[in-house]
Amino acid sequence: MLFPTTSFFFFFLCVFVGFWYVFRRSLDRRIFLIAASYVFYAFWDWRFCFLLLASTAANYGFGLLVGGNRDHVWRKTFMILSVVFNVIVLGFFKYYTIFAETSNGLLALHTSASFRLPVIYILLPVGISYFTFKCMSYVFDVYLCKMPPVRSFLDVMLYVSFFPQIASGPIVQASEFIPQIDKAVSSGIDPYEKPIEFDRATLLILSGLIKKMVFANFISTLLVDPVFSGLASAGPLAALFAALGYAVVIYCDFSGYSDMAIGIALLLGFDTPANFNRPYVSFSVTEFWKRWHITFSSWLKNYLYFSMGGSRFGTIRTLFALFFTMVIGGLWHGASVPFLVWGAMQGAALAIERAFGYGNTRSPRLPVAIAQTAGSFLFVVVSWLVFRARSLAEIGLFFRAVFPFLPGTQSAVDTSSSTASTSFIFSPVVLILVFIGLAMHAVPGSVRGHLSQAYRLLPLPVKGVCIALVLALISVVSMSGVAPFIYFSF
Amino acid sequence: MEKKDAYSPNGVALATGIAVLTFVILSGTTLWIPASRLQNLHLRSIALSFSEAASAVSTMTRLDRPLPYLRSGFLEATGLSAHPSWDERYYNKRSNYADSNKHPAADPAASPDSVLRTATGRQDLSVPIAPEGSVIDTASTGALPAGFPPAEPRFNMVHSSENPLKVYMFGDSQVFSLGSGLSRLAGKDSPVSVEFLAIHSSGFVRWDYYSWPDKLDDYFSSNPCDAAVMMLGMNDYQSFWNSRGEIMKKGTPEWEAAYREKCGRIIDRVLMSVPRIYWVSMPLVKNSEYNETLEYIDKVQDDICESWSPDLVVRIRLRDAIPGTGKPYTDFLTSPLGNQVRVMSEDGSHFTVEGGQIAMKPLFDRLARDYLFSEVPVAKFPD
Repeated sequence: MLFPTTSFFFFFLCVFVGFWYVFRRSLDRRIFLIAASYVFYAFWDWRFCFLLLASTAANYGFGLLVGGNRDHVWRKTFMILSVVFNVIVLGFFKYYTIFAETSNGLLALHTSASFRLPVIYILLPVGISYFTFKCMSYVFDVYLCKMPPVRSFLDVMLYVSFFPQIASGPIVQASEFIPQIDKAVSSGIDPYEKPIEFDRATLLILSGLIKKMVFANFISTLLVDPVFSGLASAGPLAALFAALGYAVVIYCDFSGYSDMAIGIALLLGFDTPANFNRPYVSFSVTEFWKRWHITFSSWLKNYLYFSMGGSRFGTIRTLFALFFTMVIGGLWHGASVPFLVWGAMQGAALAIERAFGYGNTRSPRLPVAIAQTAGSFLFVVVSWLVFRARSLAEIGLFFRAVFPFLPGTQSAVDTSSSTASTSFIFSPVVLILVFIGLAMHAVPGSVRGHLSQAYRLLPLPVKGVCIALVLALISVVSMSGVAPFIYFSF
Repeated sequence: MEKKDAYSPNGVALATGIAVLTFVILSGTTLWIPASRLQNLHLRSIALSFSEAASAVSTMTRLDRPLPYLRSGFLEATGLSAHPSWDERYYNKRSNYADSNKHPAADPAASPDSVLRTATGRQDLSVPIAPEGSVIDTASTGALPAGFPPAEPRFNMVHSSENPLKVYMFGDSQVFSLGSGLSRLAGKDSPVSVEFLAIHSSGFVRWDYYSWPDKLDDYFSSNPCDAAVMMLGMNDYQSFWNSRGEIMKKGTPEWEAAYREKCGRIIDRVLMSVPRIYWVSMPLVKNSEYNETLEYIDKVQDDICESWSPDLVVRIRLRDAIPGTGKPYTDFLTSPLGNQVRVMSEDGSHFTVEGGQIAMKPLFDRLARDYLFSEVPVAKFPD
């Protein structure tokens, strides 16, 4: 069940009414929200609800064991056991098949042994990477004494399964979410109480819808997909423009989903930290990772980078920690060579910037600052090409399209004969959308603040009419079908 | 401390109510579209009834006029009206909802049903599988229709890169990879030219979502082709309403009969313009539950296919190519060039483009056998 669908609208309507009007006690509301979250998850595949429950129960137990022990050795032992457990769960569903395939291939190639690992093909549970990281966050936060172990199993269940965040994040850390639960589930009982940040929620949901249904869908359908599906016949300009377009698509697709998730959580009284903050204005890769998928990069920094020593043990160790953290970050997206290369690229860039003391301050001189931003953006765009590719060969195809004088270009066998789709690549609508998709990053936070302030001044009924008008305009321009979200694959 | 923009649940409910009401009034008759997307038939029925009532009010007040004007203006101004993903002529056809019998191509009086299909089924056909380059006499497979002559047989035409075999592939989202795969197999300046159209979530069942009969009518009336490749069915395991308003519950004999009729109409429509259809079967997917439904659809489609001469409708089995006959599901396969390639995408249901190439190889070979070429088409694989 995707957010911008009729099914989700009706589902959320039921949850909203149930949460604020039907169930008035905190315990009832907790149970109701958990039930709603499991129902939401079951829409994909009900069998994985048991996996979600088992994973939650195990980590709840680990949390108690870690938090209930005063002996540091035992605390650490249980924490490590929890990591092993979660890595096994994630690894089995996400990486085992490719591991077995690769191992069997190597065994066949280099040995005469008949032993082969069994290859099991299991459907990847939706959001497993997200909820596993949330589970780990809970045990880590208890271990790091950021919060005491939670006695209520319901609270841990709610944290892990909370439906706005389960399918595609944001990866809210346990110490940020769990303390909110009590307040959220006990608010709104008094009729004069105002627990819902409605204006922020609606602005986020509407901006998420526009990003997804206008920018991501349009650019993806009219530019990125046609060019990338026929790379060998694409000209250099079309290939470069598609690369630029993909940078806009991945931002609008993912940040659009995050905006909607944050907005929906706000309507239930839960505050979620921002996941994106105009990432393409970053003047360095270091800054980019403070602005892109912030909850994920915070998770990596707090739990992985710091656990490897962070910057406490000298330059070499710091650089290694940076590099390794991002390699893991790449593999988190999936077990493939392009993801590994993508992670290594990010890690290498962060390590190089750290080694040269670059990346923490923007140059005061405008031309230099522009060059810094352009350089960082170029690096990010190239890294997205690697991220998007299914194989290294596909990356090669792209560079052959951009540099037609490279050897092997003439032997291209690809054709692009899909109907009218290629005729829109340089159409005005695509050019405008790509331009706005990039230019929106340059709009300062203060301008956005003024705009949202102006919206807040409107009387409530007028806000309702405005929401309807925006939805109507989206329906005017939107595609006829529902396109999937890119980050659901993880 | 209470935040400035905070509201009570009642305030939010009020604003949401106003927003919904305004949206409903503005949307009017188009409100049935989101309602029709609900999976559950009973919920869909309730939502459709509600949308009927709401649209009656907005139609009365004429407040639903601006949005369709705005949409058509936008589509014309941007040129998107000609793009397959926005083309209003085929999407969201309410006239096809639960009433697909009214489609002109489906007019029982003019139905080619009894014409192109053999009376006794595939086994009793007198026409053998066409030898290379032979001309199929479709007339011998049954009486020729009065109003719907079958497509002109063009099997005796010799194809070359100057005069390529024109193949039109159409179907659901799987055609993105299969169409790209077939195009790549053919390569540039090939004696086989491939054009394809993939429509997400489309199928034989929901012509209200995407009207394949209308699309095929329009396409073939202006684009003569030598062969059509059809891949539909992955979204078809769902209950639907028939023309009498009865629920055709999936998996029942009634559903199968209604499904047979829907498939038949598409096939007969295509056969009016194209001498031969290659009907691609369902793939083997990772999700075992989904796989069972696809096997069922495959079986039903196999049965339906029996109604036509094997020279007119050729079944192409995807599972024989990926993962291979009788083999279990796999994400990876060795390509004909010896490389290990990922053939299935992460969702375990769709092929990758490389997978599409491998999956379409049997079809490509079959095309090379079934038609005459002055230069033998050679399947091309990536380095």
